[in-house]
Amino acid sequence: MFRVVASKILGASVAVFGASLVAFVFMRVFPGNPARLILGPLASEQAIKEQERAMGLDQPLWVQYWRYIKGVFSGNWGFAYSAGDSVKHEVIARLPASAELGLYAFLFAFVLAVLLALVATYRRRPVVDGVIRAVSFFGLGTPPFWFGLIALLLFSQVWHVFPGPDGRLGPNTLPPPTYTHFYTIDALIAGQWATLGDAFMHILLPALTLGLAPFAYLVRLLRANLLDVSRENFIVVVRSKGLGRWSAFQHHALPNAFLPTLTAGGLLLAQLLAGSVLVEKVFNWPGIGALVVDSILRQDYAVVQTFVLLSAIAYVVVNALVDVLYGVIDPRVRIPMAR
Amino acid sequence: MEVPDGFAGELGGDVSSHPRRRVSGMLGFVARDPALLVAGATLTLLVLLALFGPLAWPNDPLGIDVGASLEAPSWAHPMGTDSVGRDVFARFLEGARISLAVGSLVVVVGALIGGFAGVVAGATGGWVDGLVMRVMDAILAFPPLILAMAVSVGLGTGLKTAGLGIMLTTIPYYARLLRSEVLRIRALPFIEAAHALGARRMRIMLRHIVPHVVSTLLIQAAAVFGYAILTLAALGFVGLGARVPTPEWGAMITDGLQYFLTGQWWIGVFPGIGVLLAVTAANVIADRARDILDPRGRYAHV
Amino acid sequence: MTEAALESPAAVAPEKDFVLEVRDLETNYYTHDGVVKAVRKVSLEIERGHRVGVVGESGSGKSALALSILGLIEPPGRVVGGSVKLNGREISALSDRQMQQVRGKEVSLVFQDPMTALDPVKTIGGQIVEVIRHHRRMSRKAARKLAVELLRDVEVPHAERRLDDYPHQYSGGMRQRVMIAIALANEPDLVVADEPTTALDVTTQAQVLEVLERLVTERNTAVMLITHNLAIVAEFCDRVFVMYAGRVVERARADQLFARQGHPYSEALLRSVPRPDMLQRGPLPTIPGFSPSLAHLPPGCPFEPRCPVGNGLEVCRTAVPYPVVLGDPQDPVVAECHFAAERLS
Repeated sequence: MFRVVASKILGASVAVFGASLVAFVFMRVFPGNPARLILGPLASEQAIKEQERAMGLDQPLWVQYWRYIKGVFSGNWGFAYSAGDSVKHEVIARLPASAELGLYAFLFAFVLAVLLALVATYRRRPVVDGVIRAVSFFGLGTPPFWFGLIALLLFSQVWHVFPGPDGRLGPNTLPPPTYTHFYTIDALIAGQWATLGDAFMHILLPALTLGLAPFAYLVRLLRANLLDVSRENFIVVVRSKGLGRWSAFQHHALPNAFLPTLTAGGLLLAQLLAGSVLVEKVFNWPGIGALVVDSILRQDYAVVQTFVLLSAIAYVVVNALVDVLYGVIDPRVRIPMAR
Repeated sequence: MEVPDGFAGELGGDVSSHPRRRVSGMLGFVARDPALLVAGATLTLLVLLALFGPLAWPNDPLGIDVGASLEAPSWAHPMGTDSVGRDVFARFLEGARISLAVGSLVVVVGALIGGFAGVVAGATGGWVDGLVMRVMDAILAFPPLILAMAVSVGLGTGLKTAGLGIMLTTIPYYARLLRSEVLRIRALPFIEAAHALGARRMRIMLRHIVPHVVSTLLIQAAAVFGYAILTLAALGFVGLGARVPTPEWGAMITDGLQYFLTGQWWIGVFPGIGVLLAVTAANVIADRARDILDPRGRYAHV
Repeated sequence: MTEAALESPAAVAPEKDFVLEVRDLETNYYTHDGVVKAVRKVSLEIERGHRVGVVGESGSGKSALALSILGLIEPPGRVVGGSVKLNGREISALSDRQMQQVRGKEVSLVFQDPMTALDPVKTIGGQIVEVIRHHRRMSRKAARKLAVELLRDVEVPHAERRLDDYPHQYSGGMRQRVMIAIALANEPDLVVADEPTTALDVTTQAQVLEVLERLVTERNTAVMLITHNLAIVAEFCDRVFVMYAGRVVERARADQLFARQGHPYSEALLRSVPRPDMLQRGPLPTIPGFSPSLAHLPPGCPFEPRCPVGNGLEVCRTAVPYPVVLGDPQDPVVAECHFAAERLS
């Protein structure tokens, strides 16, 4: 068992190393001189050479890479020239906003997917099936940024149900005292009900938008897994014991269907990471995704580079974790057959 | 946004809920499946619009006419005009051309490269196999959209680099799939027989393995097509795809961003509908294609 | 095409105690290929403590019969006619809720393929306790104790320890014995065993059957053993029902059937069993052809295309054979063949 975990960690480390190489290569090797970009098109050759030396760009590539890696580990992630602050500072400042949004998006996607998959499998009716497939295709085919805009248009502009894109809170609301940096949770802890309501109303649309693609993916995965399990022999045996349909479903079909669904965890994270880049800007959400978009516009590549590397690390780590988790939960993997 | 694994089974594969197919020709087959019918018609329409639209429609997608800016949809301008008076419909048609062309190119080239890599890795084995797979793993360590962004940023913005980035992210999926297919087929007895009869490895690879994997490749490619269009739009939205003023759908949505809430919704809505239709139609077709060619899904158990 | 009904043996011999009485049971599956008539007016009966074998090839409707009796036919299948009486009580019209009290207690199922018949993520003990506690008010501890006893009954070594193991830690034969333990946990009156040994090797088969035999004898449990293996039937069963294309084409006491067969299919089946005393070389006897599609049945006898007696005969091709009742009216042999009478005289 430990051998398996150790090998997974090793594999993950190798992948992260490879990712850092790729991230570095794309930023340094290819055209697009960072020094020139910082100084602007009118800078003299002399000034550019100076800047390059200051940034260490005149060193051979592997030296640059080594310094970069050292920097990452020591917390120096570069300087975000467009924001006027270190990348690390900016990222950490904006992390809670993205994390809170991602969490709600995941919750919505997961809960809704489970409910719908349950309904589709337990009450197998072709109409329900068709609707779910249609919803799923829609969710996977809609550009999230566009969907967010439509949602804003309808729910905020036309029907005035939700607030407009003014970020995490309305203009007249003060943030709650800081415990977790999650506005909804902090407001709950502090008992500030008005703030809680405001924060919640503001996070709802963006979370639904961000969660749409994950939801579409999950619902089809779950439904397929549930259907597969429902056809297994052991379900018939459970029923022959006298258990009802719902009982058999709840105690036997669901656990067995959830297991393979776990493996989608990494993919879901990837969707949320990518989605945050596309959705935050639309809602003026002060998260990392919006930071990346702004940086691209201003050609501030330190931020993009760091984001790419961090995303890769997170992705690899989560995938490795999911693998290990699967091995822990599935008794067939956890306990070897030999006795 | 993830690259769909054409065989992952989670995107369908439930044969029992499909209407009965009697093999009485392609059309009869398509006609019995309403979803496939609609998807096929939609995609055909888009292709026709992309091919002939810009020729048939007189307005210039790049033609600025500030006097006619921000006009609502009308007969003269079925999708209205944008902030500098350009006809949105003309831009929509040009955008269709771009999306479908780039999408197709990305899919075809990616499939060829990835497929080739996978076949070579599977058929050769040894250190070649190891090397190819490590490279693929490095690519797979990134969430696809983010890697495409990195390539775009690193290589400079533009449609070509965007396309390249997207293609890069899809290659490992073809490679992995085809490698396992090749390994599976290699283990089949008839390959052993050919080998025993003295056929050289290259010959075996070409004559026996390749025909079997073509359909596999096609299914994966079909599944990737929708993803390619969607990702291109995403890159365009972020400012990494086509350069201004090229009417790429994603970039058009960005153009319309600030006008959404001031009432000129048409600038951003229509391109989004275009993406939605194209991607969904492609996904539905790919889904059905997989159901026919591989109903139980060789890799159905995720 | 008419399918004749048989007289109810309960009417003929009312002093006999029938645990199960199935009369004209009909089950259809409504699929894209058409209506599949899996069970076509099947009648059979089992006396208390007796053992009955239901024999037939795959596609003969045996499993559908078992599921129909237990009320476990799910869409696109449906039981469309007939009656099933358990301990004299009609259960075919009961709601699923009501059947939940019957299954696992009065009648239980031992399913084929032990490798997939148990939930892979639950412990063996948990799955035994589940059936116990569903029907009896028992504490978890008490149920566990009972489960251990049951495991010992089916000869699982180190029962106490192995209660908390998972199915994949058990061998195929052991898993099948666990199934038997689950089936017998609440002392049912009837056990329906659907191909209980098909997936096992010969030695394990013998072991499993031995355990089953001992336990059902101890408890005087009736058994409906569904199989295509005639050797098992010969050893285990008192009575045999031969099924073909959804109907019972011959019924007889085991000793009667193995002596003389009224229906050519039964004869062909017996002949196709390889025996160690077959000294001559050459191909093993088989029944040529394939079993008919239950969605598109021919107008006459469904066995005709493969029948060594009736193949090509006008009467067999056009007319469905009536059941021919022969021998002692209290305990008849019944065969559905135009030539049954001659064959058995």
